[in-house]
Order: sequence, then C-alpha cells, then structure tokens
Amino acid sequence: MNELDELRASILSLHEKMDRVLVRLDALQTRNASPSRPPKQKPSPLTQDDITALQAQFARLYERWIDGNELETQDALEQLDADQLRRLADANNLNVTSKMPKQKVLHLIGARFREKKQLHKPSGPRENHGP
Amino acid sequence: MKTIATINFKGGVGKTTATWALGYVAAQQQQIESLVFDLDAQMSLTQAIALNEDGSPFKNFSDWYERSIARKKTIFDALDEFTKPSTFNFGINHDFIYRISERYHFVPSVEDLYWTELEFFDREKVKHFVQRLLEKVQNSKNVPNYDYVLFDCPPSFSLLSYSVLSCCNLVLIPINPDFFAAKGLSLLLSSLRMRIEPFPVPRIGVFMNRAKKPGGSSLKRYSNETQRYLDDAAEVLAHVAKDKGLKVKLFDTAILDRVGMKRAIQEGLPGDFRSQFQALWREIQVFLQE
Repeated sequence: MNELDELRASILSLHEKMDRVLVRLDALQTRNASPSRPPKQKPSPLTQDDITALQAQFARLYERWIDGNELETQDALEQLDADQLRRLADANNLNVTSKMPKQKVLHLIGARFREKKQLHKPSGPRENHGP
Repeated sequence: MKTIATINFKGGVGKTTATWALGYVAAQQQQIESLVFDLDAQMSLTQAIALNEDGSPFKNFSDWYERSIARKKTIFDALDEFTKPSTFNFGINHDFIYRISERYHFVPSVEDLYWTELEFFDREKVKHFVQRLLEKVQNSKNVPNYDYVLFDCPPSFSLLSYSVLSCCNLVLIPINPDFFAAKGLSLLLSSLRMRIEPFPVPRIGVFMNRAKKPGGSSLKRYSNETQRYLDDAAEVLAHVAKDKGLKVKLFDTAILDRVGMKRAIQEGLPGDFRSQFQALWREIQVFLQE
C-alpha cells in the first residue's frame, strides 16, 4: 500500500467516525427534547355577531350588578376562563391584551361597571333654579 | 337664517376651533354667507384672529378692532344700547361685523363682556338681546343676508349664552373621549331644558371632538376609549330624548385628534381636518332641515 492509499483509508475511517458521532448526537437531541405540545390555538378574531352577543352579555351582567346582585355577578364573571373574559372585555371596548391575566381583566370590567353607574347616577340641577 | 350655538360647560373641549371651522366650511359652499360671533369673554377666537399678524387674511384685524371699539360698535355696545330704556337703536354695518373673507364674517368679543355677568343688566331683558340683534342684522342693508350664524359660547350659562340658547335653531355640543365629557353632557342636557323654557328648546347635536384612532392593526373605527365614550354619549342622548322629549342627535362624524389643531384658526385648516368638518357640516345641515 503506497502512502496515498494510506491517507485515503485514514480519511474514510475519520468520515465513518464522524457519521457515528452525528447519529448519536441526533439520538441524544431527540431524547432530550421535551414532549412536543400541540401549538397553542390563537383565539379567532371577534366577528360582528360575536361582538353583538358579547355586548348583550355585558349589558345583562351590568344590569344584574346595578340591581344589587354584585356577588352573583362576580361569580358569573369568575366562572369564565381568561380567554372568554378577554373576549368579553374586548368586545366592550376595554383595553385588553392577549396575555392579560384573568384578575386584571376582572378589574377592568369592574371599573367599567362603576364608571357606568356614575354616569347614570342622577346629578342634574334641582328644579326651579333657573335664571 | 339658521343659528347654531356651540356650548359645553367643560372648558377646552374644542368649542372655539369647531365653531370657527364650521363657519369656514359653511362659507366654502357656493353662495353661502356665514357669520360667527365670539360671545366668550375669554376672547379665545378673537385673540386667535388678532394674533395672526403675519397671516394675510387677518392682518388688518387689529386696526379694524380698535376702530370698532372707538366707534362704540362692539357686541358690548350693542348690549348696552339694548338694555337702555329707550328704543334699541344700534346700526349694523361693517364697523360691527369684520370681513374675514368675502363670505365669512365675524363679530369679535370684548373684555367688557365680563361685566354682563354682574348685576348691572336687566337679566330678563337680556334674554331677548340676541334675537333682537339678529333681527337687526337680517334687516340691515349694510351687511349680507347670512345663511348661517354661529355662536362660540362661554363654558357656562352666562347671560349672553342664555340669550343665544333662547333663540337658536341648534345647540351644538362638542365632547371629548373622556368620562368627564360624558358625565358633563348628562348634566348639561338635564339643565338645558329647564334653563331655556318657556322658550322652545332647540335641537341638540353632539359630536366627538379629538377622537382617537385605534392602535396597531386594529380594524376598529376608533380607539376603545373613544368608542366607549361615544357609546356613553349615545346612551345619555337616548335617555334625554325619551325622558325630556328633546330632539337630539349624536353626529356620526367625529373630528380626529390632531397635533396643532389649535393653530388651525391662524394657520388654516389642514386638508384632512377640513374634510372631517365638511362631513360634520353636511350632517348638521341635514339635521337642521329634518
């Protein structure tokens, strides 16, 4: 075997070693990878029908709340999951983000209820006090 | 002649700029003559025009204003004359009315208007002042036959604004997208009828001024905040219309918030701003004819 053949044989042996190392690396990577989770489903954007329905739901909840059923309304809201609450708030023009925690959304809805109550509170001038 | 009074108890909602811009777009229509009164003793509109010394349309205003005061031809002089026991003898000419452009004219305010809030005037008589003054304007051969007269009223039920409200065709209320504007609207509407009666209550039109666009890629027409307070205003108006039997309308056109809006009087209406006011003006005209 001449010198050139020896070099070729060495290179081939190196290639075989590298292939084995790469196969083991692949196997290790697959084993260490976390079990793949299904991709998180992005909530579908609100349609006009959704908005109308969610605004009606919001109005019903507000009516119950203003009628004095505050705890009952709070329970009803807390039974909704974070996504449902965010959609309810979004449809009613409250500034929510896609990752806003449930408690923060509940707080925003409560603040809006209090604001609407203040708006409807009679505070007009007394009669017979015109110029 | 149709008369429009811009009023809101809340200061800084854009009454002055809106009154000015609506008078301006009205006069842009063919063969329409418009007249704007500044009835606010704070003189915001008058000062905006007076300070525009380097702009061509108003460069002669200061000279004219001094002459008007010297000749006793201001709105205060007219009121003073009206409240005298003698006949109301106040000649209407262009010493009283300033020509901003060919078809857009202006009656400025004067500092003396502060005195009208004191008890020097017969309050009952002052109620009829604007009506009588407008009759004189209409009958004068020295000034045009105005199609529209707009009043920039002070942010309160002053004697003069009360006099305007007693005879105008439309009360125009600009609101801003905040809770205080919606609440203030409720207060204002509750007291309007009580204050104006036994005079017939005019039509009431409300529009959103300084509306905000939504951020990002949202397809909504306005920001959440603007939409919320528009909805609140609609609710207040519906309640008032039903409860007090008033003819009310929330105009669909909102004027978007814009940097430099306050300089529009001095520097001219930017194109986008003009088209918004033109749209609002078209709605106002339809409402006045309904």
